[in-house]
Amino acid sequence: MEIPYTVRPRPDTGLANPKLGIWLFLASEVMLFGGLFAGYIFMRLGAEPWMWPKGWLNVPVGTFNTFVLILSSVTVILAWESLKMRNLKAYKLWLGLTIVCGFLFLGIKLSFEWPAKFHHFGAYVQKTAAHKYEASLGNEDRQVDGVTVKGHVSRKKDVSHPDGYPRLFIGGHLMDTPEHPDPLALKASSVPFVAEAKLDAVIALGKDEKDPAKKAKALHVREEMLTAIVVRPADIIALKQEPLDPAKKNEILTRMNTIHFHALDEANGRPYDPKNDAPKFELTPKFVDSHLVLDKQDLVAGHGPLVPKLNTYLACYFMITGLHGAHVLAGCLCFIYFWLPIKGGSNLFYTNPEQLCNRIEVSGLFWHLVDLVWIFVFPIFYLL
Amino acid sequence: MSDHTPTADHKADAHGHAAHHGSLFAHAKVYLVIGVLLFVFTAITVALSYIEFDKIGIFVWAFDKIGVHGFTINIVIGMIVATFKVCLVGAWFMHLKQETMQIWRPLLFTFFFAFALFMLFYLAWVDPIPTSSHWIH
Repeated sequence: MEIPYTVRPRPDTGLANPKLGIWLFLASEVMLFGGLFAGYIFMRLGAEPWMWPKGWLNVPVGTFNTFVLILSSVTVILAWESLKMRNLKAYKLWLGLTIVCGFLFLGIKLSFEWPAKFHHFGAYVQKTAAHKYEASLGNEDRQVDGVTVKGHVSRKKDVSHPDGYPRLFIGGHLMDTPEHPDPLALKASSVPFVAEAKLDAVIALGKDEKDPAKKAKALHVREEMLTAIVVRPADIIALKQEPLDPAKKNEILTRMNTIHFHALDEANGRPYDPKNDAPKFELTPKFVDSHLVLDKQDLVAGHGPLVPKLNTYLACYFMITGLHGAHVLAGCLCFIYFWLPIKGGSNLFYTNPEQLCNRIEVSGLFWHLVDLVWIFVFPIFYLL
Repeated sequence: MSDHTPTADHKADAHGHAAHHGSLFAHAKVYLVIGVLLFVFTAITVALSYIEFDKIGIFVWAFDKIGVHGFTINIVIGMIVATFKVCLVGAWFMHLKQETMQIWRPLLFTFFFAFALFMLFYLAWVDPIPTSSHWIH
């Protein structure tokens, strides 16, 4: 059975079916993304100003991706145009370019932008402990050779924040230097603060258990908990030894409860430089070779790589760009189907060109919506 | 059932298509112009984000009238440019400019619901009935 009114307008609606269908679908898409954007705005307005990240995404790369997507929007409409002119060669060229642009966009997103976040580490210092990391946060004014250098707090003053606000985020890389190639550093640094009493309790699990079945179960739990909080295999073995050397235990505990940075973000590496306050157009973000030890006790829970759980901004970023990326992929797959010389694809040109034309128009409308969503995503996540 | 006879259509295509769709050449030019405009406005959006509007007197004065301060001025300006770009895409690339009421009608509902959605979030944020705030009790 063939679907009716794929080309000729339906008498009652005055439109071909696919046209009305895609617009109803796009209407629902607007609601989907509209809901996400509204939620994002709500969370952004509700956040404390010092907690909302700015300048975390690579602007040149984002700008390039925006150009790629706009270009693909132009090429898809030229592909449709070529079909209307009954020029199959031009159609294949323009649609091919659209597909290339779509995959280029996804490639940059998945091979560069997202992984860059996963390899980057970040932590929020508790407000009460900020003074301990003053050298990396640069919040207070200081005297250099009798001249007052303004700190972050006094630089960040405006009508809505007359008292300014502190910088509390410390970010950078953990294991980028050859001297510290520890592959477990990232995982170990993400584990929350563990008090000595808690570690003792975990080590003691199953110790005094008489029932062999219960003891085996308790030892299994102990093993799992140790793997989760201690992470490094050598440390786990050392902690299980009996009797346990208190000095050794303290050494391991210190290692567990500290984070070692080897390359800090520029904002933390040179915290007094007001240049860091202004946005920068850099292809690769700069890091300052430095060493900083963070005590996990001073941190807000949830430090780790820049993944959705670190903060609301990243949760929104990965959610919205992920959903948008899924749309780009779906669009590309449709275009590949229409490009290939198969019955429903470009071979349709020889049997029913107007239907192929409508297919490209309809998938093109979807593609423009994807472009349109990105036009909002780009400024709100990358620039503002 | 097919609503269309391929052979007849194909014949029509073989003859005089250029004459039939002659005006489309003009369209291609329009699409390219819109594409270039979108490129330009993307560059403008990026450039605007590097300007600190809250440090420029006239902007501080103008936006103060609508209760917008600090970095929010940048956000409002950025969103205005983005909305303009979206209108370009919608009107020309998506042909909304010449679309019939049949398309516009469902879209009007979407606009209304999207507006209501943003309005609800806005009202939740502004909280116009202060006594309903739980933290006051």
